[in-house]
Amino acid sequence: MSALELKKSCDKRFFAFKLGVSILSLIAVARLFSIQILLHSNYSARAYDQYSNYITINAKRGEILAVDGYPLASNQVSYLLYVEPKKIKEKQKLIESVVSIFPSEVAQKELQRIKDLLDLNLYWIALEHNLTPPQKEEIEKMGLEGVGFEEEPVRFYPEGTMLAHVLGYVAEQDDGKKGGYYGIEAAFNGDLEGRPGKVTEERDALGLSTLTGGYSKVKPLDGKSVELTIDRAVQHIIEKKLKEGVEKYDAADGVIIVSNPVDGSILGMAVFPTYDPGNRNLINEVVSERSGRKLSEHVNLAISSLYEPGSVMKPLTLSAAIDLGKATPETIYFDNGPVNYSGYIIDNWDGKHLGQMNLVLLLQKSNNIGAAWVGHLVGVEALSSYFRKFGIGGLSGVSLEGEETGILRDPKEATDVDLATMSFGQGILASPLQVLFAFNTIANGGVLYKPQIASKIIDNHGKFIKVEPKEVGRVIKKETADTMVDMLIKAVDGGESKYFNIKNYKVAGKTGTAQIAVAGGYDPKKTNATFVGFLPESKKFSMIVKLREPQTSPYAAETAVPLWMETAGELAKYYSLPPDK
Amino acid sequence: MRRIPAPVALKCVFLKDMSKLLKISIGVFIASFLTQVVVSNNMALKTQELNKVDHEIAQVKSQISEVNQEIYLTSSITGMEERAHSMGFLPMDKPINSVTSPTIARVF
Repeated sequence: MSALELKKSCDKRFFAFKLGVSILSLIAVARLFSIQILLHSNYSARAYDQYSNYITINAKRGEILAVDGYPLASNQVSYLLYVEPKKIKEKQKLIESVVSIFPSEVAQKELQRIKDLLDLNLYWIALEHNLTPPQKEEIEKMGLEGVGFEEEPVRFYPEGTMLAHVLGYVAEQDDGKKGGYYGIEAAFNGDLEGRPGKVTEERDALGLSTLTGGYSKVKPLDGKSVELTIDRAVQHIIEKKLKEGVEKYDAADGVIIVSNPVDGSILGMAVFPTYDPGNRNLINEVVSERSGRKLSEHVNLAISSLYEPGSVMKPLTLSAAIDLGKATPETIYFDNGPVNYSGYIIDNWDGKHLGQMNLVLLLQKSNNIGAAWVGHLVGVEALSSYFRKFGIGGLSGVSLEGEETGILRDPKEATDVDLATMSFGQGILASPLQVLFAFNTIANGGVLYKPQIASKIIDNHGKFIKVEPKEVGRVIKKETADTMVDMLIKAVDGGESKYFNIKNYKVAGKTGTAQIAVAGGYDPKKTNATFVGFLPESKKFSMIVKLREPQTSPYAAETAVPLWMETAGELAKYYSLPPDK
Repeated sequence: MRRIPAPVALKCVFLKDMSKLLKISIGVFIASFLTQVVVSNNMALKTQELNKVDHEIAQVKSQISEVNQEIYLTSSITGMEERAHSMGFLPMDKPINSVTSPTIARVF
């Protein structure tokens, strides 16, 4: 091969080499272009994911406060204990150590549960929720490997079972987040829960946060607190009395509501049997045993249990008649025996008939025949309209989750017997709260106020929005209301309840004993006993007491009345009301 | 005076500068390495301190929460009633601070 040929051959190979290098370079450049320019955001995100770490900072749930600012629902710090099984060296030691923090009666059960969990081939296991700080410290001291803690706030109810049905409770929702159920916790969940924050930081290969890396923090927005109109002392008194009353009269359950008739604020709301919102599962069993039947103990019977109120509706019927000018307290009617309405016989609860009576006597004797007569005097359209204006047959609008709408028959479909029964509180359904607020209208000069349970919404900086009392409207004239107050005082003084009346104080009120509807009629042995009333001189409070199926006596005058009077006596002492009688 | 030809002079200066540059580069490299060691060490210590402070903050918060819980439990009305009973207090049997209706004589 000549020198020229050799040179040519070398040139060709060099050219091929240069071409190859150029092509490879181009490919490399193209790939780099693709990675760095075209897929930049994708790779950048993957890299960021690898070295950055996100931590969610839970927002502190707002507190629920009593009117004195004391927290009825607050938060306590608790911890989630988790394990990373791949990092565990001594499994048996870990199990024994963790079990040692539990009381001996649950230790064996916990031992098996933890064993089963660790047998699952997982990288991360939530082993135990709601550990207290001392329990956490105890485990930390053991120096176990593969064990960690996460802070998780837990709802804490300092007064235990007090006001449970009004407060509701907090539990996990379907999406795993915690949320409020029932009562204030549910009704104000949006205000209470706040918005969680987030920390984004870069971590090194050991998982430690680096100071040089990026760090950003979105602060959590803590939930707002809700201040209630509930007075703790009033609540304590009525809960104590209700428990005693339900047990004394052997009732299935009971309700007491205390309100301020002047502005519609609810001062206390007690339901028995009750439960502990902070430890629901434990109490459920006790409640079930006590009542002897399955009962959804979270339901607030004060707003969700509709019942036929019975004779407590008679004052509303009389108010309508007096307000329309169709009757006065002195209006005379004749009760000469049972009355037939469309083939149905209407009789008095005691079967007694006193002949000539006026409306004051009607209330005192709780006369059904007289009430039916007055109802017909008013007419079905007008009576229904008045009942609706009193808040019967609708929602009261109280800011609590789970209120049931009352039921009032359509006046167009009502027969004369429907009108007769409606006049003395049967054939209609109302909740204890609706009945109490209808009475508040009479106490308050004829003006109905919306039940108010929240008085302030307070943000983290202490700024608050005041919830003002809301007037629904005038129902009856002031003169009618004043007349009705006088009649209700006389009804208490000379009525069935007179033997239990509190000394030194005038009381305006009315009893109601209503048989409970069963298939095909009413059960004469099962009644709802109600007394609703107020102290007319001070008008400091109005109160309803309702007992379901009292066994010692079916009559309100012998069950709900003494309980009302005893409770009112305690409240009068608490408010230091001067005697007015 | 004999003059050095220009290309030779340039070469000498270049080589001299290169040697100087190399020395400077090595110096800068060593200095930056040492600085990095010192800074990294410092950062690591600071990170540890930060983690410690974070831990302490968490502990203090937990203690505040515990104290609050204790305050709430101590001032709960049920708890107060129990303590009052155990201290010998009796339930009120009549209203206190009652203001009786003024008589005409009192008004005048």
